[in-house]
Amino acid sequence: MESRERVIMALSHREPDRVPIDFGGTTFTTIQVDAYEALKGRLGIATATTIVNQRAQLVAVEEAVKERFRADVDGIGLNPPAPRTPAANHPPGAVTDEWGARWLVGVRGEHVATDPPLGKAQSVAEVEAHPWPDPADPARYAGLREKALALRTGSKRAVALALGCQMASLARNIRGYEQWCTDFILQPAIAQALMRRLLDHHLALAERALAAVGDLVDVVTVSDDLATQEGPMISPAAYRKFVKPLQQELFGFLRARTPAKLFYHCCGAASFFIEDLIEAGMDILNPVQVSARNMAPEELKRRYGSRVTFWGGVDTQQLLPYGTPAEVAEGVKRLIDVMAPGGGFVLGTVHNVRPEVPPENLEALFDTAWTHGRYR
Amino acid sequence: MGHTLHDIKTALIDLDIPGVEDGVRRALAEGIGPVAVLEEGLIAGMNGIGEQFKEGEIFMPELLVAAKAMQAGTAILKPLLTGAGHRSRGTVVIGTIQGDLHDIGKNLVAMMLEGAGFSIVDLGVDVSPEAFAAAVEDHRPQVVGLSCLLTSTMPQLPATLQRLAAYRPQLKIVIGGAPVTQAYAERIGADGYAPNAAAAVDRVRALTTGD
Repeated sequence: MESRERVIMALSHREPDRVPIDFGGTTFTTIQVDAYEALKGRLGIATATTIVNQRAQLVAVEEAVKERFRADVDGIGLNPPAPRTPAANHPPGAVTDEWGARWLVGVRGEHVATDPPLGKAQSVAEVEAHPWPDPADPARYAGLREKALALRTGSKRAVALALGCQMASLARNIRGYEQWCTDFILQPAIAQALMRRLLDHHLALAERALAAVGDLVDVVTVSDDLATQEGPMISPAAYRKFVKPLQQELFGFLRARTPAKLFYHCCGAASFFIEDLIEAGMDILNPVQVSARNMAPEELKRRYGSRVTFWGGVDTQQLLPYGTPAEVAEGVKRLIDVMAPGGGFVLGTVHNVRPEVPPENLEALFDTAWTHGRYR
Repeated sequence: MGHTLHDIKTALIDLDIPGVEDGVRRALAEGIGPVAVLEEGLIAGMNGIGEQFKEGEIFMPELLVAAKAMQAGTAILKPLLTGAGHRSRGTVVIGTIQGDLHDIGKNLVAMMLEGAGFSIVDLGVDVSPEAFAAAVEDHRPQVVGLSCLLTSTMPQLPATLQRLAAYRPQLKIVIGGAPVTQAYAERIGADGYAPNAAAAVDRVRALTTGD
C-alpha cells in the first residue's frame, strides 16, 4: 500500500496495512537542528541541512531520512511573510515577527515572547490601530500550487498544508500572556476584539491558500495552545464564550473550501476540549501529549477513538529524551497496541524532537513503529 | 469587626478589586489592625482562591486577577505594616533555571506565595546556579524555588542543587514545571515538588513550619 492511501484510510477510521508514520510532515513533527545533525551522523547521511524555522531552530527533514524512517507525510506551507521593521520601542536583542510580537532568542532554539506590543492597550481602538500584516500579499502564495502539484505527481506520501491560524497563541504573544488571561475577566472587549481580528486575518489567508491548493492536499493543519501540563489555561466557560465560536467559524470556513481532513494542534492537557473541538469540526488531534493530565491513551481511544484521529503520541518529556532504546521500543509498542485498532491513528513524536534526544532513540522509535505497526 | 474582614475575603474570592480596596480602607477606618486585615482578609481570601484552583474550579485568569486584588489591598497596607512591625512568613528566592526563558508558571507561584504572606525575591529567567547562590547569600531565604519548562534545561536542576549544597539542609529547595515530576524531584534530592502554583504554597508552608 502506498503512503497516501495508508494515511487516508487511517484518517477515515479504517485499518490500512500499517500504522502511518509522520516524521517531518508537519511543523509539529519535525526536529531541532542539533538533534537532526546527530541523527544524520548516525545514519551516515551527509547532505546539507536546511533550517526552516530560525527562532526554534527546526529543520526540513530530508528525503533520505524520511525514507529510512518510512515516513508517510510530506508538508507544504505558505512562503514566509514580508519581514517587518521593528518599532521604535523595540527591546534590544529581541527579534520582531510579522505580528509585531517580540521574541527573546536563547540557545538551541529556545525563544519566548517578550514586551508585547499591545501589552499596555486599554481599548479596542488600540487593537484595531495595531499594524496588522497583510494576508493578501501575493508573495506568500507564489509557487504554492506548483509545489502541491509536484508532490501530488512526484511523491507517494500524503500531503499536509500548514496554515497555522492561531488565535489564542498569537493573542498571547501580542498582548502578553498575563494580560491575555486577565482580559477574559477585566477587559473582555479587548479579548474579543483581538482574537476576532486575528481570525479575520486567517480567514483571508485561508481563502487564498485553499483556492490555490484545497483540492490537492489530504490534510490541513491549524494550531492553538489552550492547555497546560495540568489542565485548560482558561475556564471551560471562558473557552466556550470567547474562543470556541471563533474556532467553529474557522473550522467551518476551512471545511467548506477543502475535502482535506482538519488537523488541530493543542499541547498539554487538551482532553478537556475534545468534545467541543469535535463539535467545531476537528478531524485530527495533535500532538496527544500523553504525559499531561487526563491524556492517557487508553482513555482517549475509548472515549473519542471513533470520532477523532490521534496524530502523535510518542512521549517527549520522559521517554524519548531519557529512556533507553529498549524502553522507547517498549513504549512505542504499547502506544500502538492502544491507539491503532480501528485506524484513526498516525504515529509521531509529541511535538518537535529537541536537542537532547539521542539518535539511537529515534531509530528505536521509528523502527519499532514499522515492525510493530502492521495490522493483521 | 469580623464582618468587614469577611467582606474583604469574599471580595477577593469574587475577584472584585474595587471591593477589596474598599474593604481594606473600611477595615482600617474601623480601627482593625493592618496585620489582621492582611491575614484574615487578604491572605484568607487567597487561601480560598488556592483551594478553588487546586479543585479545578478556577484557572489562570482567575488566579491572576485574584493576585491583582491582593496587590491592590497590600498596596494600601504596606506603609502601615512596616510600622506595625510585621514580618513575613519567610523569604523565598525564585527563578527559572539557566537556559530557560519561560516565566508564566514561576510568576504564578511567586504571586500565590506572596498571597500567602511570603516575601519573594524573583530572579527572573535564565538564572545560573551562581546567580541563585549569590541571591541566597544576599537575602538569606528559607526556600529557593526552581522553575523549568524545557526538558533540554532539566540538567540545570541538579546542577543548581549541587551549587546550593553548602546551605542545606537548612535551606529548602522546591522545584516545579511541566516536565518535572514528584519522582524526578525525589531522585535529584529536592526538598519538595508541586504540580501547580496553589499546591506550591502548601509545599512551601509545610517546609517552613516551625522555622
